[in-house]
Amino acid sequence: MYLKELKIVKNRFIFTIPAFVFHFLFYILPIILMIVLSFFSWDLLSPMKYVGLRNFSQLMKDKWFWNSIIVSFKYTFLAVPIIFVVSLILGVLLQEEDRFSKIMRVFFYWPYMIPMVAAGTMWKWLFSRNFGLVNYIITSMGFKPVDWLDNPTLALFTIVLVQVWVLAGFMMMLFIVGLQAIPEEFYEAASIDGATKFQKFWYITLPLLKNTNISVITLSIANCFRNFTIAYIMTTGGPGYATTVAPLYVYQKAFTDFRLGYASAGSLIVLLISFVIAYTVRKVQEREIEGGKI
Amino acid sequence: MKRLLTFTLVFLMIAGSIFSVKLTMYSSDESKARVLRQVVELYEKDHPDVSIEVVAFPYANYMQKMSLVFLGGNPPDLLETTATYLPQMTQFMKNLGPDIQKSLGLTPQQYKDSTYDVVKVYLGEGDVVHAIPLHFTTYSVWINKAMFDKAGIKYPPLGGREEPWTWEEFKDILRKVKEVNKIPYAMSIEYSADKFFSYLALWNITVLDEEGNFVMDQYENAEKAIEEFVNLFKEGLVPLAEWLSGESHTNNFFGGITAVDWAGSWMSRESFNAGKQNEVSPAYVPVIEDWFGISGGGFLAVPKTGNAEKEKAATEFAMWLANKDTGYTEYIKRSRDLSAYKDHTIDYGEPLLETWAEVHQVLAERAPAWSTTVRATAVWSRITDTIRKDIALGITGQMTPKQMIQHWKSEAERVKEEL
Repeated sequence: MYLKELKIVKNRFIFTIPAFVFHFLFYILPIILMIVLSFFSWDLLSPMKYVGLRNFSQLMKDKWFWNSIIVSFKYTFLAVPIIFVVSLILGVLLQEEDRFSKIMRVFFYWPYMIPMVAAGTMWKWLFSRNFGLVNYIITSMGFKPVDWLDNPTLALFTIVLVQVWVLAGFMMMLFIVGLQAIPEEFYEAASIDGATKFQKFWYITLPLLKNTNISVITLSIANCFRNFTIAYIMTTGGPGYATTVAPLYVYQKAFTDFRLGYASAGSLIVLLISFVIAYTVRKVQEREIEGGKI
Repeated sequence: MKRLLTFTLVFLMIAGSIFSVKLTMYSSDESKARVLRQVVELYEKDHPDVSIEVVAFPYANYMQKMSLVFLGGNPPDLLETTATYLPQMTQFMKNLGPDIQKSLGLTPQQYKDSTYDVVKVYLGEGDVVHAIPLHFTTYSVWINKAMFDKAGIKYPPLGGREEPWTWEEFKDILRKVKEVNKIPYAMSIEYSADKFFSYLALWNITVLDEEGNFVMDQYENAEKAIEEFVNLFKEGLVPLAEWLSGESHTNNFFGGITAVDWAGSWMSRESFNAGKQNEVSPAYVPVIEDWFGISGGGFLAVPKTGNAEKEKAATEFAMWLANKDTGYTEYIKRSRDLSAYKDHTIDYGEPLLETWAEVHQVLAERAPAWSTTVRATAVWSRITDTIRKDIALGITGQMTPKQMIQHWKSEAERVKEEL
């Protein structure tokens, strides 16, 4: 019996080796290297120079780094509720297994399959101040063109819109799976009791979707907080630093200013913030489950 | 007999592919790469034992790619680069001085002296030659002829006016050309610190000295110069989108959104590429404290790869391209750029190009030496992004000229210390 268990453990260990090696090489090792590098000054071309905690002390005083963290939070907290509402509405509308719903699901899921670089480039052109289709339509209706990407406030909102366009279809699919798992009997019983459509949605659908809701919110936060490509392609962080999200700022420090050590220190702080967010979301999730609400 | 012939042919083909040297050349721009490919084709015809693949990278990410390439220990055999980036990479380049002496019969100093001063400062000190020059560039303003004619504005020197405009005149012209032609903006300026410097230099102001020390704060009118630049955007004369969201200045200019492009000699190539050569013309930059076109250039270097055979083949190609009697003239005619060598008259086969070259020649010759040397430092190429980004912040009212100067100073000092 003992030998059999030992064999199972051994087999499990052997089968996890490829995943472990992959995880170590592409996740753990880069993090270790990043921590080491954050204590050095390095421009890729010259020899590395040990600088102790200087990178961190400079980061503490770097207002644009902290601005980028704030932009990331703004971006996330602006995008996540919109993604949630839009994908929930789409999920509710397209949950039936008829032909129309199936076609529309493909239509809305399609942006998620487009490479982010291509999506960003396409939207950059569409929102272009002088050559964009969006402004062309607006001006042909007699209105003034809109500075979609040139106004600091509007630029952030514009890239959030693109993020919603990319993610809403994927989240819609999660909602559809969740909606289809709700037993039909609940709605039948509610109908007998005379519940309206809104009451059914509010008292049956929404509470029973709680698990899906948490997944959608967690995934959306993760996707938005680490977003880099859309901001990089559409605005390169501009106007000024208005759309410079934290990953983009760190990237620019590393590969535009060639301050690899400084960028590593910044990445480490971003990583710690991400951990705090992930931990908080997880705690909320656990509390919901332990409280018997799910 | 047939079999023998077939065998010989197959053997020669295989032997040819085995024994030919394959080189890779990296280029900083697709339009330059296109010209280089044409020249490479000519070279390969005369040197069937060598084949060169030209790979182009987007200019915006060029230095990033090159840094990673050198870091990874896998540099290309040949490298085309610009004045902005060459100073950062010289440590990785082969010294071509001895090869120049052997191939061209000139001492390294004689060779360097045969090029324009604006190019020479980038080539290296003493007997060292880090790279051979491909062309030199200088700044000018390009104008849309039809729009200027409609507004009844004469332009120097090809449009009925001799002297350059004053700065005040220039701003009035921008306002007028915008109003008469009912265009949304008047002038394009690419989102680039060098473009800003080309304007700043007209105030006789420099950001750094030749040693890379920050000196801009010592000029009384530095803040005013920045303010005037920022005001061009605030007044709606220059499209905000060009500096705030990276909209293309060439698209705006060739697309008729603007009537002027504050650019330079390279627009000759661009205008031919766009088929707009008869619609545009270069003009002198306006006079502020002085008037001239700051200069830059393109270079070809041979990185140290550690592969003796490839380095030799790459050097031979570089020497072929450095020789005005062989590759260089072929290159410059095709690139439609200005020759980097003094007393080198080019027959472009296009009268227009020759006229334009004369305009640029005037602007380049008027440029003081400092306008080039202060940018040939590694410090300058490291603070350019900060400069353009801060100006963008100034345009949106988030930074004052005084704050910009202070920020640039601290960045320049930090970079100098780190270097």
